Amino acid sequence: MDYASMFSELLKGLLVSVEIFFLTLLFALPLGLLIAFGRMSKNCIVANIFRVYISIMRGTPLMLQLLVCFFGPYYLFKIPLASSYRFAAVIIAFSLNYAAYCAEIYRSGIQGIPAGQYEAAGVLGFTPVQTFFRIIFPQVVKRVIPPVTNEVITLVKDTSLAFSLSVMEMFTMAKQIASAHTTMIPFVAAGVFYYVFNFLVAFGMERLEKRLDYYR
Amino acid sequence: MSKELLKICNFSKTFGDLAVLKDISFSVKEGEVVSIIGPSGSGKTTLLRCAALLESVEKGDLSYGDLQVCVQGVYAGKNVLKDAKNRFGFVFQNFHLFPHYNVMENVTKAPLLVQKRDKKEVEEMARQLLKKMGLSGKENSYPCELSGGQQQRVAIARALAMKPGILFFDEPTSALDPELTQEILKVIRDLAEEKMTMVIVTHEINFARNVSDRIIFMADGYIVEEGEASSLVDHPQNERTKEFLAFISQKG
Amino acid sequence: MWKKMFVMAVCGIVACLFAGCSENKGAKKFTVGFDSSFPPYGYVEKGEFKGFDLDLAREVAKRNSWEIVLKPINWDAKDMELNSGSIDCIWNGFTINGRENSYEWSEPYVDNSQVVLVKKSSGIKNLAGLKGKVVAVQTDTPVQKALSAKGGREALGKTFKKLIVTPNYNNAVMELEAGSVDAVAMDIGVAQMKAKENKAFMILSETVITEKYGIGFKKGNTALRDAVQNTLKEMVADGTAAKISAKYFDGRDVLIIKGKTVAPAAAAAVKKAPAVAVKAVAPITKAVEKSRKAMEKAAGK
Repeated sequence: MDYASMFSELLKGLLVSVEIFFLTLLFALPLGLLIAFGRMSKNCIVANIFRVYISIMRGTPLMLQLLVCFFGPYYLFKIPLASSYRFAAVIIAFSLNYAAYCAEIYRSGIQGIPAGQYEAAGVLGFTPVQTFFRIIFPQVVKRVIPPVTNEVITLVKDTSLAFSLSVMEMFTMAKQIASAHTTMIPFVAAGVFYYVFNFLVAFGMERLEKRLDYYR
Repeated sequence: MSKELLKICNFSKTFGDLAVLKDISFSVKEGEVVSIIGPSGSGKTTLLRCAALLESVEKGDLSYGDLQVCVQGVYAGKNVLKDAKNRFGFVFQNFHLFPHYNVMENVTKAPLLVQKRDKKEVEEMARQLLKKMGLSGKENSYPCELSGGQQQRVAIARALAMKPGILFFDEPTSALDPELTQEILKVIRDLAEEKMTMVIVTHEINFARNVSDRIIFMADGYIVEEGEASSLVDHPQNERTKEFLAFISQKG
Repeated sequence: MWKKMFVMAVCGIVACLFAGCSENKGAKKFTVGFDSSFPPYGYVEKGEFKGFDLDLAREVAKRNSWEIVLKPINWDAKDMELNSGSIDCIWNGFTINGRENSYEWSEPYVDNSQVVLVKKSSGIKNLAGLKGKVVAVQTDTPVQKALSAKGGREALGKTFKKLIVTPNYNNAVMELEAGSVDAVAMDIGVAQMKAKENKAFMILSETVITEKYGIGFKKGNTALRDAVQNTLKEMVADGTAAKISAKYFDGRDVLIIKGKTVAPAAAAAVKKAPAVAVKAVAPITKAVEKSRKAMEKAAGK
């Protein structure tokens, strides 16, 4: 196999990895906020439901969650599966899993905001919604960027787990090319791709962090 | 007779088993400056926070002018509370400025978002207020770039921007160095001269005596003594008051 | 450490040289040629030769009181090795199909054919029926290679709607059950196991790849071929071969050669474990074709 076709195969896989990556972020980041709210709910039943949810999502392997998301509908509810559900299942499982981790990061960020900020907003007559989005959330964003960056980088590497549902992302492509042509080059190339991808992610997050560095 | 802006009747509040406010009643008239003094744990800050709706009482009535906020420990609806919050301003001991907003935004956000006032008018007013606070040129600074005294002056401007009828100060100088304390006291004194209605919880007895019309002395959740500022400080009637003032002057 | 290994290596080489010189002294030698990078049939692990075929060969040698010599060979030079007499046989996942007349073959002992597992209810009757269907294969299997671009069955692979590559055969079978794929192309041994477990499945009679393994001897060397084959059949009959298979194939018995007790000595062993022997042989005896047909008949009902 010549290098050109090897790289085009790998790029095909990379495209799938990137797709999983962005779709997961798109759903997991906002979903995490909702879960964080649920977890901090004053209603102890709601809070406990979310506590259990987070505990399960963090306490079981993502690979298992992928299998459950894909095969669950059939084995639990006897709903026949379509092959097209495969990719959706990957995104659902990744989003649910990463949302749980994000929720805990958000929660620590939200709870780290001094009570005085809520009081100051309160006496000025801000509504709870205004208080959250105008006063609290911008400060939370600044606080959670470093731990969220960690999660995002882990996500880049975790995309390779999509293969447990037969989605051919980059690493699987690399493995296949490597085993078909007894060469290590695809692995090296995949490693470089991952590194560059993560480098860009880290660079972007650092820029964002710098942009929010104007206060405190 | 000027009208009553704030009226508190029979406030009672407990934290667990501890009664922090016991049957407190007092009122503040328009243009009046009232200081609340007393030892730590006397309930004076809690009283102010209850008046500012930061905490709730179990018993008692609270009204701002004609607005009945709380009757017999039962609070009025959301709209009334929102209305009430427009009638007072609150200055915290630790400023509690919004760190992600610059000075101008700290002062203008609430008038714009809560009172939905005209942007131009609000910004003009904010500039005037900041000038009055000696903060001209700091409009685009962030709180972290300011000294404690400057931050507290921004906080006062932020409270005044809402055009409150009455301004609460919760130990406004306690977090400040002595020389910064003076700049805040001067601002408050200036406001008093402009006939701003104020309730001040403070440890600065001399300042309270000079700036206030009336002083309330609290201890153990009670109002122990209440009277015209200079006479209460110079000729306290109650033993507790005497003890406290003696202790303060000794320390000072 | 290195020193020790070096000394051992030197001793090994010297021993080999002497062994070569003193061919007719002591026990008869049985030299097996194999490719040392073909797991699980023959490979190197922690400096030792291991593998399904090698274990079988060791056992055959032991029963004949031969001294076994395992000789890794350059696969391209296998014919030269065999013809020159430096090895007695090639025993290493050696595909008979296409080489039928080049060697003196034992009976095929492993069926490595790749077949297609479908749901009986799918209405798919043959490979042509897979047109426009989603087919799953396990990653890194011969059938995946065959159906992919430049593989031997690329033309067949191209008729599929999609070829899904799963991390293991279990996932593929789960997908078949759940309906997310229409067929699974896999090893006949595993397919038969799955079809037996789940009556909703059946195996298509057409195979994707037909491939059987045998032991290759030098053309004309029927004497040694028969000796080895008979011993192997004994081992199948007394269950030893099944045990070796279980060790390398996740507990499965992959042997298709028919067991036979030859020597009276082996009869005792059969008595000891006749159940094992019968069990091991029964599902995969004779032509695989037969059982497959029986299953399809059952499916038809």
